[in-house]
Amino acid sequence: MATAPRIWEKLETIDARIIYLILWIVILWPFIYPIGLPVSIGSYSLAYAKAIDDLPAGSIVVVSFDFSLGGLGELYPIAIATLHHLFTKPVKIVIIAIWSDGAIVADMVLKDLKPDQPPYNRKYGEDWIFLGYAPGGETAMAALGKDFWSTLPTDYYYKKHVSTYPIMQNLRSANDVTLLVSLETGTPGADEWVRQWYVPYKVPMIVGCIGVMAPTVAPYLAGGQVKGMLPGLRAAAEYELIIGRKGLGVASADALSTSHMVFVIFVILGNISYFMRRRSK
Amino acid sequence: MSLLRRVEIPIAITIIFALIQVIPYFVNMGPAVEATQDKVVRWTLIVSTGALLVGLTSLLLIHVPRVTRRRTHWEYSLLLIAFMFLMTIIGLPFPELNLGLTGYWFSFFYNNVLTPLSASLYAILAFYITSAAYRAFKARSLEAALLLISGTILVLRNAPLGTFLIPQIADLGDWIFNIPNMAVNRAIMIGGGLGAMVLGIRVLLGYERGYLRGGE
Amino acid sequence: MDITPLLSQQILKSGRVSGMVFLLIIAASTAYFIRRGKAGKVPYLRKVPGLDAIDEAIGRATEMGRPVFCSHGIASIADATYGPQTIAGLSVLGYVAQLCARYGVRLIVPVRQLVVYPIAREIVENAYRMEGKLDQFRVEDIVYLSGWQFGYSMGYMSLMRREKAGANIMVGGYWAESLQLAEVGYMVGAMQVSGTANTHQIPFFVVATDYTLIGEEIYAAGAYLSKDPAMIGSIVAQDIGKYVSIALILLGFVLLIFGNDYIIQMLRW
Repeated sequence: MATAPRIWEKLETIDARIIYLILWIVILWPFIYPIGLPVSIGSYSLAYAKAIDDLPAGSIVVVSFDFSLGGLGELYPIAIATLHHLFTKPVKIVIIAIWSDGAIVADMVLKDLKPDQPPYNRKYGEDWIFLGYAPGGETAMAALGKDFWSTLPTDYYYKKHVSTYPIMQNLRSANDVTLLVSLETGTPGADEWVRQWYVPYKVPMIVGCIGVMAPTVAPYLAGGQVKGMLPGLRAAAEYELIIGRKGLGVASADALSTSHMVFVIFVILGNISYFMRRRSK
Repeated sequence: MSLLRRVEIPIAITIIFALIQVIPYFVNMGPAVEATQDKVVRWTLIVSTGALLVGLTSLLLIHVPRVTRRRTHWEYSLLLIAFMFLMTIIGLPFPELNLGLTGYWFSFFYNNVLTPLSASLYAILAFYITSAAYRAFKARSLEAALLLISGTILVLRNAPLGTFLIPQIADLGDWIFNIPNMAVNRAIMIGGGLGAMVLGIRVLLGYERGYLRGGE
Repeated sequence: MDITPLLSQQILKSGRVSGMVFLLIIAASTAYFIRRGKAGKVPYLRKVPGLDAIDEAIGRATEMGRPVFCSHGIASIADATYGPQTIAGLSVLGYVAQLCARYGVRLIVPVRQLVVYPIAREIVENAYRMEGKLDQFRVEDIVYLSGWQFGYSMGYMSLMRREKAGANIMVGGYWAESLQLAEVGYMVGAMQVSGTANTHQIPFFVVATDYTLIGEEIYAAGAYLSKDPAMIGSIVAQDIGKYVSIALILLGFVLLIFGNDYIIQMLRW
């Protein structure tokens, strides 16, 4: 009988490295042997896609990369899918970054997507433009809201003044923007955009964020400031299915399932060992 | 020197510059005041850039003695110093030498060193949250049990397998997320906002001195 | 009250009037309660276990002969929204430094923001001076780690492991690094007190550290620890703000039931 409590005690104080190893295996496994579990689609993802689908032709959409390399795991699939969706619509796309690393990440995404080439064939400077990094965080957001030209006077690729590009002729302030897309991991991000663009200019927003930010963005969804939200990989997979372009999100869905299930199993095991040990005491 | 060490001087500076920011936020005071407001914001950028020197000094102060005195893990300190200077040189704006933020070498180190490092470090969270949850997610009390149950439901809601096995978990998870979670989040946001506001006013009135030499 | 003339004359900025009124109410309440506090009418302050635990954590580290880690988050002090969290963290640092100097325990302060570095250094140095132990102050223990978030986190984690932290006190604005730091702190056996107003990081701190200050508690930390009656008095102003918020929420809710959105319109002034 004396061995039983020891087992529970051992289980309760299990070496964390064993947990890490098991988790690592179950995350890696589905990438090698995909299971292909179905992903049901949630209302937030539908609202996010609808906000883009409902854009009238010729609308100006600002896509802001408000994250650095750490957020790539969750936000890269969202960024790729969002830009793909936008480039297939007859809208004007202005890409900016409020985080310094955001410009480099945006450049990576654009190089992967190649908007100038088929199937998009969108003309740089006319249909889309990349303005790079606006330093100053929230102050930069406020400044962009007031005046785009003076806050980001040149584009990222050719360093030419924005006034030389046809797309920028109709974009002087946030009043000219139909939709703002913020891809974010934290601060500055949705909170600050709401303060600087929604409150004074009423620019509608959609937000792609890492999973942990979802509770922070959610109050703005209920309040109507944010029209749609894609939090994390699961939402990325849902969105990819909505727009019919399977990518990294769908590919990661199985790993998401296995890792989350292992998490739940560990929590159950932890509780069983806790109660058994308490009972034996 | 004693005049410069007087606490009233930084407090006065704080009050003046805070008011330059606060009043024009609410009241239209004309373009001249707004231009001053913008200028003061730009000063912070300049001060931050100037502070780079402080960082450089601090890092050298710690790592150079470690290398020269061959303390434990001195090799890492040497590597740190070497990379610090290497990245500084690579970032210099000389495009003709392939240097600068858009140059080949900066991209090379960025894509091959910083990107995988960032992604790996962020990914550590998945492991840490599992071990932390295993340790702490226990039904020790009614509140802890509620936290455990709602947390587990949301984890299952986020996993495609969870919603596949139990389709109702999606609605239940959304309810927890939209109602109790949102209510608590708003309450904490309001409380936090008020706390920050009162702290700001204490700073303006010169009572909050914790950030000034520990209170004296 | 009709504010249209003020807006039409462009004296007040549209959309910010309600915020200004609210700020003025809070400012007036703060000033009033500070005066009351100075006059000796100190309000009752409930116990904040997280703040009381700081003494215990430092005492425990002293007994174990291990260093105390104290950080103030990763936000810049100049940041409009998150700067106050750093100020709150620095207030706690002042208190921790004083206790560490008194007990003769080593204090390590990992810093991410360069602008904050000289402030943190001066706070600690002054605490040692006030305790008459300036000779024990080690400038190299106020460590600038990295401006890059995960570089900072990695450096902090390594330092805790290498130096075998006995206590880890983290009060300020933390983001993704919160759990990394808290989990490593647990692994090295440090007693941990954490606090942040970043709602998305509070769950991580709650799960992985011994005591957590939630949201507004961190802003009250400076006043609570200082035991200054005027400062403690100012905390009542937070409650006044809460009463106003609750009244607006309830009134707005009741009016909306009857189809009147006056409160929403008022908040848009």
